[in-house]
Amino acid sequence: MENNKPQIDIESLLKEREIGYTKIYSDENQRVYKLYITSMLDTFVQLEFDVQGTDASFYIRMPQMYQELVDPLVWLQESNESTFEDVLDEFVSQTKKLAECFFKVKDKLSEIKFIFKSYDLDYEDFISTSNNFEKN
Amino acid sequence: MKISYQHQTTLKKIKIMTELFESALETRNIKFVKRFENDEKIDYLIQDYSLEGIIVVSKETNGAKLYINIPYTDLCLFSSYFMKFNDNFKNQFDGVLDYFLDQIQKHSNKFNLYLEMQKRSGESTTPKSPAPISPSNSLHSQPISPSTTIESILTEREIEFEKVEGNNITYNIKNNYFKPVIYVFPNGEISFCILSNTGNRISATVWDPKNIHAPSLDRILNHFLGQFESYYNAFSLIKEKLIEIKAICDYNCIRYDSLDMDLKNYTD
Repeated sequence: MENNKPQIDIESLLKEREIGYTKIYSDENQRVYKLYITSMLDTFVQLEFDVQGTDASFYIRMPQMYQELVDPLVWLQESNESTFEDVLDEFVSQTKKLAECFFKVKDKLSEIKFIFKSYDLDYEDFISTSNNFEKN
Repeated sequence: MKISYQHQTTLKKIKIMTELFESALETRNIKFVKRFENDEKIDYLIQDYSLEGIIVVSKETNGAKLYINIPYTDLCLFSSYFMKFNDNFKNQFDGVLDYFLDQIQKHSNKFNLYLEMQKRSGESTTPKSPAPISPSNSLHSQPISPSTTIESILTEREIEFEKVEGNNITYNIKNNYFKPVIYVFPNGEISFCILSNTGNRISATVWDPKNIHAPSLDRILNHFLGQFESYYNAFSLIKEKLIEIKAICDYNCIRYDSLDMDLKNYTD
């Protein structure tokens, strides 16, 4: 199938946005990148850019552990209302927001760990019972 | 004519000795109670000290035994002295009694210092120290059962509890975050446990009255209550943090229930 859309130089777009990346896989039909959007989420997302599709869609794969926490950002597509660059920017924005959220959660957990240390409580025990604890 | 102590009847000997002790203690403004009394012996408990000073005047020993206990353990942990009821009894009486009272004072000071050090070492982790035990609770004129001690202290501290009697006596202390439980076993052992709501054991201490090194029941109970107050404070703080984490997650559409609380999987 012929792709009438102009070829997107995804690597240039990533460089413009100072997004670190590694090309994991590439052939004529598909290119796969591992993106370094924030320092915390080094291995957070993987971008699969399908050059064969007429919609120039790209698939973003998230590690399993994150899929349990958030809805995976998959099959973001270009449309008449949004360009590929718009979609990419939205994706980067959401990823950064998620990273910031995890930083905040991590800080709170550090505070909880400090409380446990101060009170000589066993944090591992707490983890195993935290769901029940939360219901109280 | 001088009447020899040796020729006194046993009852009279006991009477003379008790009068001497009671008079001598009153003269020295030392508070005391009779814990036990019959024709065979009289058992005095000296108050106003952290430790118990015991004086037993008995027919069996034909004299008076003086020793120092840790309350409720019925165990002599420190020096004991024996005063035989003979012609020299009165002569040695004041000296021995003063020495004995001095020893109680010294041991009590050491014991208080030890408790203070324990308390200080726990202060950084224990914002609420256990309420002090009133003298009326720490010293009794009659031997009291462990259950009475436990119930008395829990009531004094306005701690709600449920008593379940079976083979053991179980005290379930009401708490929102975990389950403090006290088990009184038929063999006299008492177990102090703090369980999570899922039944995991957070801490457990067994008090064995036969262990001469064990602290008194009221002390270990107060330690236990202090510990669970401390845990309560900790869990209150932790719950605040968890609520904050949940708010962050909700705001960012992160499923809080799926969050690995250790977060190591996300960072390592």
